[in-house]
Amino acid sequence: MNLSKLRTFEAIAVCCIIVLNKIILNPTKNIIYETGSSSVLNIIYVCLLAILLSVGIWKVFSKFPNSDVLDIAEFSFGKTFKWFFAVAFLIYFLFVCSISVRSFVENIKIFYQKELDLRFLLIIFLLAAAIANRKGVGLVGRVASFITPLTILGIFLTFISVTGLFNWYRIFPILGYGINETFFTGASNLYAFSSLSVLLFLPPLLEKKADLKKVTMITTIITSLMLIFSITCMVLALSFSFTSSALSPMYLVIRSIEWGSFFESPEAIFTFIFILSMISFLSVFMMVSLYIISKIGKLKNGTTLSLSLAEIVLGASLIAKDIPSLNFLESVIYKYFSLIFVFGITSLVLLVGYFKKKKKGANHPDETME
Amino acid sequence: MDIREFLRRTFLYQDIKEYDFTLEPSEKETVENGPSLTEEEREQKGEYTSDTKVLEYTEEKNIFPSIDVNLEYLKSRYNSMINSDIIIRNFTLTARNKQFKAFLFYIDGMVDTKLINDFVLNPLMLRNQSNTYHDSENQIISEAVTNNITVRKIKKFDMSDYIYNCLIPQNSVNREKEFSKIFDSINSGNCALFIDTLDVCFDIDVKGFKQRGIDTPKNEIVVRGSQEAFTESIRTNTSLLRRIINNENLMIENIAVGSVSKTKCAVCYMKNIANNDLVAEVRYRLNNIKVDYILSSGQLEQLIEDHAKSILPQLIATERPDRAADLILEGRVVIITNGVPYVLIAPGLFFDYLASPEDLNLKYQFSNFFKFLRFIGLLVSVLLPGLYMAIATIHVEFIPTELLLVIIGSRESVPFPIFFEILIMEISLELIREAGVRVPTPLGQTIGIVGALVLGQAAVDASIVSPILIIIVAFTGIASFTIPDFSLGLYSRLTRFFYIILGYFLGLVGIGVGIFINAVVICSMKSFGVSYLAPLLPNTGNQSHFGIFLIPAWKRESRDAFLATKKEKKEKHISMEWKFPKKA
Repeated sequence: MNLSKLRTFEAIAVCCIIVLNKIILNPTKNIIYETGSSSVLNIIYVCLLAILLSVGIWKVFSKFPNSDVLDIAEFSFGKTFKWFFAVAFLIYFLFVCSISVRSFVENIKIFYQKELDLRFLLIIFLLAAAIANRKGVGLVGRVASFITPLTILGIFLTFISVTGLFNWYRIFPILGYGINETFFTGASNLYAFSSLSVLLFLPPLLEKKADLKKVTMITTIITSLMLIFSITCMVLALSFSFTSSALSPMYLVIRSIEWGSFFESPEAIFTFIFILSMISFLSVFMMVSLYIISKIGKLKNGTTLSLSLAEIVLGASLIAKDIPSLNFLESVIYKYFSLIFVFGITSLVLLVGYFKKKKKGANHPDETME
Repeated sequence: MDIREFLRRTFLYQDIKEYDFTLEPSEKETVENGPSLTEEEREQKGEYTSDTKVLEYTEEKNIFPSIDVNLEYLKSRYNSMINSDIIIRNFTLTARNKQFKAFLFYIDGMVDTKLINDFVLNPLMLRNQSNTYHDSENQIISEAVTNNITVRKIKKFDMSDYIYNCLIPQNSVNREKEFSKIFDSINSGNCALFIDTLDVCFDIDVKGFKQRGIDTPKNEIVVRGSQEAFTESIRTNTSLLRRIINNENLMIENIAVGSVSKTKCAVCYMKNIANNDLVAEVRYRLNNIKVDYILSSGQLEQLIEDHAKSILPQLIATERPDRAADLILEGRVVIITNGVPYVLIAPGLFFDYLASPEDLNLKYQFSNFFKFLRFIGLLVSVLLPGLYMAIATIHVEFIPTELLLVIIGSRESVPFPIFFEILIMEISLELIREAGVRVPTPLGQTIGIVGALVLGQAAVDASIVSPILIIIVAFTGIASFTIPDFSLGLYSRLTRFFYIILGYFLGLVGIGVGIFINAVVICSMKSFGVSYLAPLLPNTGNQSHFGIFLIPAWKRESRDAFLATKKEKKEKHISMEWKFPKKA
């Protein structure tokens, strides 16, 4: 039993869980806020872009077998750049981790645990994720492979359950605020997939290296479908006024579900699944962060630092003073950080690496990357 | 550990060097024990016929005239150097006043030693009228005199006939020329007599199983299976396994554990099936236990399991020889401890504890249904009180209005908080259970009934607990009885209290975090190098299960891949050849 590698199914589960959690949290609300009634159209368009992007990622990585994005950065721009790049990624992951857990815990606190201290709830979530990371990468994958199917089932069940509440007039006007908002500035909604940047670190962690293509494609397709389902639910089942609510849009959707007169509030089941899903999400992000720390620090067993990392995330998650400032971090800072860093700089690094390798390969066909 | 050390270990980087054993695929069988090609490959090449498998076990070979060659062959087939119950008795046989080298070969525990002493060794070894009688070499059958010429019909003296007719005063003796038949006889409790210069072997019926000492199983009761259980005697237990498995590839190695008690333990496995690394690991762990004494298999279990701090069972404990034999034939290793009627089986995996010995006797649809029920039982037993606590205290809105009104109404007269109320009931239930186990059986049942009916009813009447809670606790108790394994039952009983506490303080968040941490712990565990959640995680492909469920008996072609056995297949692709005969 190798707990330092991920099997194909586990890798897919790990990648899916991060996007699924973003669906549960606020990014979907921001997408609807910016594109209005054309959200469904916009998200289909964004999903197609994401699939194209994942094909591109796979193409680049096929040139660099068993390498992650840091190796490609080193190959493209040298060791110093690799170091800065790694630190930037680390900051990005810790930032995503901290705002996500804070956002989720704020929601939980509003619904159920009004009297509990926010820090206490945060510690509980982060502790669970840190414990998972103590045992290694494979373990995080294994747990995710239990929780991801549950989360997918939860979202799919939500979609099925709210179909009766769909008001089809809400998709009109079909182009929402206009073509520009839907297809040009709306392309920025690609940031909903930014968490898939975890994929860039997966190749060395995969047990079967050849399965990277399968992992990339299946993950993108599953998450695209889930994103389309959830946006459709939100647009058709809820009034647009929900975008001003402090609550998670997914929770507002599941609150409207009714299964007969006896099961008036089945949201307990979904909330329960989403709690598991959030802890799994945190453990995945911590896993990748620990991987980066181990790589740049040349540590044999970075997992022993999981509790220290959890402390840093806890500190970072307490930076936002209140919910409006948290919303600002999520809708503005996170979005542009993702667009500029993940889709801008990282894509550039990958492209440079790809062409450099291609050129080098043409000159020295036998040469392989160290 | 002081606080500084604890903090250093918790927050600072350290290079962890933990003992780690992982079961890797073993080498395929060598030529001696079978072919190196897989059965499928051989089948494709047309080499694999329906009889091949039988021949692999019992290679068609005739008995050699040289006793030394026979002895060496038997020793190697039965691995007598490590097989502790294989007995070879060398002696000098007296026949017609001459002495011949001979040996007896049998399995200890399966023969009646008195029969061997009195009716085999005694007449053969001690000088008596029969074996000292010396007549002419040839026997005259008929004689005729014609023209002063005497014509005699002579039967040449036959040593084998002589021994058969005169020296073995036994009612059932056969002369065999093939080793395969001798193996079958030895495995079933006969003894084999080999004599120098003879190319036949005497198969003497001296069976002597300890039949009367064997009891019926007390805790693993089945309707349609065997009603035999292990006993305290190690040799009786090995003979029970031998009788069921009936194959010379079954190895029984003796290892003494405990520097003072030197408790005999037997490691049993199939030489041609079990993974060598797994066997070596079991042997290694048993040989490296530095304690004064071992008195029970439970004690031994705690000393050889992978995760000593975990409350989950990691070795299967069974009192049923049929279950142990089934798992040996699947490629696992059985450890018998002298003086204990329970044997340990390695590796023990999570879903094994949800399997009942009855499962294999039933059609797979029923087995799977019951397995599913047991799984639900486990979940209910562990989570129900905690979930009730979480929902009744924090997430009240999840309860349907009508039900909520009923709960509130039933709790109106109860003065205690719900947490205290549930703790009282759960602890009472555990007390009743413990009392029921400790007192003699008839009284135990009475205590159970008195406890459940009288105490429960009285507690409700006295407004100490609400009726709804009695239902929750009773349902939890019933669900916990569906767990077939005692150790897993204990696990569920203890973890239930943690979930109650988590549910009370943190509601669904607490339960969710608890489940996540539980999942992390279970996923990280392994038993003797095999993932604890196998065959579900990792899904290794070939196995006789679909996830955790059994597949039809005719489809169980492969042994579980996670055991990395030497022989992958246990059934032919078409096992019901009577229904789908091979095309000519």
